[in-house]
Amino acid sequence: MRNLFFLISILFSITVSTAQKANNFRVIDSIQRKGLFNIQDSMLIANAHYKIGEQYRYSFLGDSAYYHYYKAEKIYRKIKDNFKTAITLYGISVIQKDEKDFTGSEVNSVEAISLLNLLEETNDVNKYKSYLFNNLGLVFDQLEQFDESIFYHKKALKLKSDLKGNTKSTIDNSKNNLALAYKNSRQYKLAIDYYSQILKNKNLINERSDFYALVLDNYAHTLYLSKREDGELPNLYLKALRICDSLNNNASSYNSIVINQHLAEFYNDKNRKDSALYYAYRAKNISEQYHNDDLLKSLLLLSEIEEGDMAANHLKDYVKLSDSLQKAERKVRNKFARIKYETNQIEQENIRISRERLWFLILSIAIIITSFLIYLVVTQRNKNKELKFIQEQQETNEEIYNLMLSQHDNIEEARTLEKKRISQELHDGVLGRLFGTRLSLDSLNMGTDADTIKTRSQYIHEIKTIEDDIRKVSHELNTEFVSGSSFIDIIKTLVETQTKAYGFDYELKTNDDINWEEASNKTKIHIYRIIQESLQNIYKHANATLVKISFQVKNDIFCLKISDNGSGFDINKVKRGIGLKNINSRVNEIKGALTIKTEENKGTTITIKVKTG
Amino acid sequence: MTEHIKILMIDDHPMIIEGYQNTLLFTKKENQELSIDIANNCDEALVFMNKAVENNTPYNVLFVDISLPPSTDGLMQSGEDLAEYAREVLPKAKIVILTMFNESFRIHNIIKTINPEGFLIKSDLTSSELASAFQAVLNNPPFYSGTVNKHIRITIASNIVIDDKNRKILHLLSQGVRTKNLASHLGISTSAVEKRKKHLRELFSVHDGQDETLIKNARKEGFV
Repeated sequence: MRNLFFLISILFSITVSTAQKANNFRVIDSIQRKGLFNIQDSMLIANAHYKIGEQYRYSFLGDSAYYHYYKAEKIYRKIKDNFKTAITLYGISVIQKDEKDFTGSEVNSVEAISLLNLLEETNDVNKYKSYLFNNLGLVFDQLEQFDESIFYHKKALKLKSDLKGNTKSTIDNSKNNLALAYKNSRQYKLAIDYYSQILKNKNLINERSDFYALVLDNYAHTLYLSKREDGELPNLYLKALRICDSLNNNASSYNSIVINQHLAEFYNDKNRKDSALYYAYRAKNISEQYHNDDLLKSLLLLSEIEEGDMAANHLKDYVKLSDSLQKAERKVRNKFARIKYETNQIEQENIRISRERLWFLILSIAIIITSFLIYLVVTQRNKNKELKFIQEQQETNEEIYNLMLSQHDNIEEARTLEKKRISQELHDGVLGRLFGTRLSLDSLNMGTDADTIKTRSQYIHEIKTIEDDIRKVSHELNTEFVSGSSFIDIIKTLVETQTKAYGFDYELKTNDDINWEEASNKTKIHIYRIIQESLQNIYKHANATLVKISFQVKNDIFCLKISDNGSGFDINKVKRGIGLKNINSRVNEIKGALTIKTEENKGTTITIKVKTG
Repeated sequence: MTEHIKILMIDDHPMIIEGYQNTLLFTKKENQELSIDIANNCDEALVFMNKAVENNTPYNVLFVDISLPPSTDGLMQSGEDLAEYAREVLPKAKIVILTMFNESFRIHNIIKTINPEGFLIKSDLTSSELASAFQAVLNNPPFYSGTVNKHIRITIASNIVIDDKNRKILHLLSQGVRTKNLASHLGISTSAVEKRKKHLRELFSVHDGQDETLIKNARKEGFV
């Protein structure tokens, strides 16, 4: 903000002098570059625009001035600053009038006046009102609606006479304008009255020499037009020209064009061709550098004064210049329209962009939220899947565990039964007979006759038989009496039922060296499940007719090999399949190593190696 | 004068019956005349008993083994049932129980239900003991073998009195039956079993709450 104030103060300090014009533009540029238009304080922005507009107007750069005025006006309207809006409109209407957009100028002036009418009639308000009336007067004068012009000039004059401060020069200006309107409407007497009023001021020649020269010329021209000159002409013209020439600045040399034209006209009228031509060419030469209506007028004058080809040439030039001027005017007017249109367009564009941005923002937020939600849902679903999978695994594991437990129970039961049987056998068979034999021998103990001895030897033989029986029982106890109930039997049952259901043959090679009792339940469960899963995969994908399963132990490494004669598969393609994944995770669980060998149409061999113990 | 003694020997082991026969024949008194019937199972025993009742030739002495194959009609499960039946149909017969069982619970039950004239445990039976038992049963019953006497003495000497259910609990526990299965064996609820076991633990001053200790203490006191 401080920066902004600094820049604005710089702007204020700049005078309108031509020498500093370039500098002005640099400042203007720097203000624009400084990102002035991003600043939210719209009042300040509008003020800056207004100031820039004024600068451009004083530098006679109509289109740039118009651009900034227009911007300022928009903002002032928005913040409902009627006074500022009105003075900006005034600036615009002046530019429009200068560029001959008279209708536009009229419209804006009228609007500015009506805005000012809403306000309290302060000095400033009245001052701008009078300026606006003056502008309207000039506009109508140009439009050759002289009554209107005179009406507004009078209004302006009336207002100006009530203003405070030094109003002399501005009143003189208005009077001059009013006189001009009278002159153009051929009311020469009234015009002469007003001019005389201005010229009455003896100080004017010193204070505003160029203005004095202008008024003097106008006065002389009115006299000339009214045909009431009594020897004052061409002295009045010459006096005015002398003043202009003596001033020797841009404004006075510009003014001298008209004076020269008037002189040429006068001398032409008096049939003094040489003088007429002299002044006409002078007017043309000076006006050439401005390349505007004055040049046009000069050319027209020359074409009247000259004769023959020269006149024709001048007329041709006149027509050409007239065309180009008209074109230029049209261009300027178009430019104004374009500025207005472009600004509107930019604003609309801005609105559109901001709306788009808003939509974009809403859309991106929506997308972010939805994608986040989708992400949540997906992860949740995956998690659920995983949990479900784990649960299923656990359930199946439990199933197998129960299977093994029940198998274990079977073993226990069988053991108990066997124990009972042996006990029964010992009790009923052996013990009873032994008791009977002992009792008999006891009773026979006393006898010594041959018969008794014979009987005794019979009983001793009986003891031998009992001995044999005991040996038999002992032998039975020593052998593995429980069969069909180990882990390998569970596997056997599994392979048998699965292969039968899937309809292929199987070869199961086991090794009795494997101590299944030592292996953990976890390992057993996983091996069971791996075999089950493999058989399922073979059934689903391999089209095999034979499956070979073998268990082996070598150097503390337990090795399970499952091979089929099926169609095989591309290992890279199937790597991520559920079946293989399951087997993999199970092998990892028991810290084993999995190798898969597969060849198209030759079958697949899965080898799992686990360290025992 | 000649004393005629009618005997029925019931045992599923012919060898044992031979042993009994040998012993009795060798050791009988001069004036004693033995007529011995042999039954190898419950059915045969029933046939002999019923015939004796029918002919009015009752047995004087019955040698009954406890563990016997059950009768075909299932009514007689063991020697115990046979002995009971004999008491009913042959009230004058002297019953001698000969069994391998030496557990306190069985001994107790047999004395209670049958009150036999002779009670011999096979494991500590000798021929001379059988002979003297035979004579004692005929003339001066009862005759109990050493193990039975020891059991009776301990039970009487002990201050502990327990009912049949608790006795059975101790017996079953000693057989290795688990507590959770006791209820079905006894026909009572699990909580009732728990209550009884608690009572038993107090009776046998078991402090660690273990069944093993309970059985050990009960055995010491002669209840198992």
